[in-house]
Amino acid sequence: MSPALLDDLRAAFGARLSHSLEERIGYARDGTPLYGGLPLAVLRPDGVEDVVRLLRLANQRGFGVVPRGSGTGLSAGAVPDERSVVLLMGGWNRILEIDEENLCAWVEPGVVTADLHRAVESRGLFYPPDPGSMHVCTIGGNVAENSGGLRGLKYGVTRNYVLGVEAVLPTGEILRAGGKAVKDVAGYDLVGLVVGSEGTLAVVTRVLVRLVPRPETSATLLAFYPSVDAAARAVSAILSARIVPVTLEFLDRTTLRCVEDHARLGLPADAGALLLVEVDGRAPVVAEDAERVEALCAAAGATGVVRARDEAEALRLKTARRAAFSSLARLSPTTILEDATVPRSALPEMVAAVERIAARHGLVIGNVGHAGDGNLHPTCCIDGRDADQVARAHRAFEEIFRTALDLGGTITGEHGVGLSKKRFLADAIGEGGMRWTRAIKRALDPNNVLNPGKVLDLEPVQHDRPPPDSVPACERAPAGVA
Amino acid sequence: MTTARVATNAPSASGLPPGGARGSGRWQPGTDVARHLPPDLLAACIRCGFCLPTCPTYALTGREISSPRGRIALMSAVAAGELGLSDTFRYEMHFCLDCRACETACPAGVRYGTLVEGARALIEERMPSRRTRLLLDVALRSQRRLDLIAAALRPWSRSRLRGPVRRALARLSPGLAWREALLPELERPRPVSVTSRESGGAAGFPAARRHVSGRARPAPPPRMRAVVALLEGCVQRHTNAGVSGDTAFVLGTNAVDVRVPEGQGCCGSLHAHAGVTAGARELVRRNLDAFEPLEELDAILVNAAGCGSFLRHADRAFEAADPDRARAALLASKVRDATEWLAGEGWEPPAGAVDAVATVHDACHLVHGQGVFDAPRRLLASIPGLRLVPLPESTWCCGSAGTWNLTHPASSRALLARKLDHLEATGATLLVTANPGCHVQLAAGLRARGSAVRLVHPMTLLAEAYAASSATIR
Repeated sequence: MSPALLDDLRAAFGARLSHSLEERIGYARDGTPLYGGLPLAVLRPDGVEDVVRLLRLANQRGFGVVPRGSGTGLSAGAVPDERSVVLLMGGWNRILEIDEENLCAWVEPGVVTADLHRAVESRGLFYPPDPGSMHVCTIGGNVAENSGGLRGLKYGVTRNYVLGVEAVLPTGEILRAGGKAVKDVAGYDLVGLVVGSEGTLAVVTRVLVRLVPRPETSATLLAFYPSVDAAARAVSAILSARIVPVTLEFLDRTTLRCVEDHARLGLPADAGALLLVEVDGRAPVVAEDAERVEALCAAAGATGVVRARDEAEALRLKTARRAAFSSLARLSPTTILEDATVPRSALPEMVAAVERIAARHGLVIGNVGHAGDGNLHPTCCIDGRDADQVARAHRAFEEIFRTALDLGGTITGEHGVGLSKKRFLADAIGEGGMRWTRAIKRALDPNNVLNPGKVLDLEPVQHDRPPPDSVPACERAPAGVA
Repeated sequence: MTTARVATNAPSASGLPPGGARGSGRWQPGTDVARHLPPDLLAACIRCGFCLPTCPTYALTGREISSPRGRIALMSAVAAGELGLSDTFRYEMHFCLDCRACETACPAGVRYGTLVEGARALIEERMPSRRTRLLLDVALRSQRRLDLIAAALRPWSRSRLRGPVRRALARLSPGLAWREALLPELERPRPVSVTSRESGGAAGFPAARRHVSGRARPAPPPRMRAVVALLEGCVQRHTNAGVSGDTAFVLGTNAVDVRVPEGQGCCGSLHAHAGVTAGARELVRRNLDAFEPLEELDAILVNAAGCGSFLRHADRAFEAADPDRARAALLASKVRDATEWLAGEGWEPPAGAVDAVATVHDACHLVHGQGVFDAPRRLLASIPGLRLVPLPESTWCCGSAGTWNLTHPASSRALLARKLDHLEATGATLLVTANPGCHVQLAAGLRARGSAVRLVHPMTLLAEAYAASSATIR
């Protein structure tokens, strides 16, 4: 970095800016394997003014800004490069207001998702999105990635729970969109544009989340099957019976063993697949649904169906499922977790395809996923230091994504495109989709400063900019914070 | 401007651009670095971040490099030659509490404790710290010297002048006043009475116990069911002198033949935590001599969690080629925490009541270091009249962490305050913990708050319940 730029950043932000090698190493990566990059510097913003100032400076001086929550993302969305400043939003972690009458809450982006759960549940309310990393990840990251979770089947994903945002646009302007009105169709859906934009269109500084009443009770069941195929049949049977469980998760044998190794729940290691089903709602309905699910699971050929004895046991089971990805890391140094997603009905076909592809490339690929959503997490266990294994894994995933698309699915259900799935995006959304995506990015971020290189590559902007001082005042970015 | 660098998450290519180490000087890690920071252990971290919410120092600073994931990133950079043993690196490696909460949380099974102690050993090897050595070697290498130091400090530790002096000191240096306040009221070490095959019962328990008389002895059980040796804990002898006697009494009551080998001393855990591996090794050797013949022992019981956690892996202090490594491994395989062993073997529920509300603070090196959580609770639940209430964040470090409370006064106080706030919210009158480090720290905190809560080791509480029952049965 040019010393002059560093001096200017220091002058603007003082001790809030860190340039030490150690801090930069600390923020060089997120939860995605095989990606990393040392940033220029790291900023802990004190307020919206800092974010605005950083983005203006980025436009003037031509560096990138990479917003970061807890860095648990799985598509390298928070991985910086040597021309970017990492913007740490994790310190903004206050819950500003819980509006019980309007069933919503204003929160800062650094609030940890599980902390929001606790805060609203103590008031009989419920914030459903629950990504696997919910004890670590932040609401800001969830909004950026449109995160899903185990409860997606019944309750949907983050997009369904964001009523409004305050954000700083790449040019340094403030965007306020949405609000507490449940119905609001004034203008384009700008909130919808921000949700899932992977930090490339806006830095979210406040989020208005929608809450729902907390379900009265729930019941959790486990069903064991000799094969993934049999488990998939049970999934179809449950959904065809018009039951919508909160959670309908499956784990294959490989994953099951690793989870058992970590969590020691006493799961049978010889089962070919496991289904984890949770139903919630009012007590009589839950009791009835649980019984029907139990019968349907057994009828589909389960070797055993057990019900969690109490809430604590149900929690242990779900916690273990959340740790599935990291548990698989016990098998090998590098664990690549993907999230190819297909229409529910195509799930058995997809699972079989993943197994075939894994065998063809001589790889261990564990299958775990949100069966009810068709959201599969094929997880490949390799040693990232072995170039041959890495190459084989890349080839295997390429085939997996193509298969998912052929089956009418998509390349990512909830992790986002980031860096790791950029090269498959055109196949998923088509040339038209790419053209509009590019146009939106260009319109909002003309100098490509915000999380550059994520989601899509832009041809370099033909900067023919005069030095900032010579720009006439009327041409500069609007002054002052709205 | 956006080609992201692709690299593996292995230390040999940690994804940092080649010029990345400028500023702190590239260094040649050398072959010994892999010995201290084994590449496979570093590569086991997949950076999922599940450790972050369990890390007390990350909670204090909010900085990635104060978290296990961030520290492993720093270690990987050091191992790859991209970062030298910089001030910040050394600080972060020692700012870590080594509490291992991250190991409990880690689904990938990363051996973080081994890594951080490896990093400290690397630092100690390249840039030895005289202060660390002085503290460890003068105080702990010889039990006699430690006894003499404790004896010299004992009058002051019980002096009424401490309060006023500390208040004056606080004006000069709050850190110094805090360290003074940590000094517990030192006790005279008490010889541990042990049972033997011949006597067939608890041969005695500390006569000084308030409500325990020498006559109140449980009936001799029919036969000894196991032979165990007890490690007393070199510091615990002075800071909580009754614990080992109480442990022996509880074990004897349960028909266990307890031996307290002569010549035992400091286990070496503090040396190992500080990265002074050679010192740790020497102390393990001394205890090996004291505890031989190991084959005669069914178990080596420890009532100080920090010592137990280290001794369970005592062989890791030895090089693979070291002839003593096999003996150390045998010793390690027999080490159990006294509560875990007794709960596992089965025990006679005491008949005597302890009417109180108790809560358990889990010593890091018991719950995270040894995976023992249920055992003390199960033992305590068998005491009639005792009501156990949960302590929020019971598995969080209290800020003691070996000598960490001496080296990081402000952070240590913050963690202690967090712990005591939770304690006060429970309404418990007994705080039960099984580690001398926690004991010293919590005692200082309770004293400073003028709290009436009694701090007690689970074995002591159990001993009192047995003694009360035999007194009534008599």
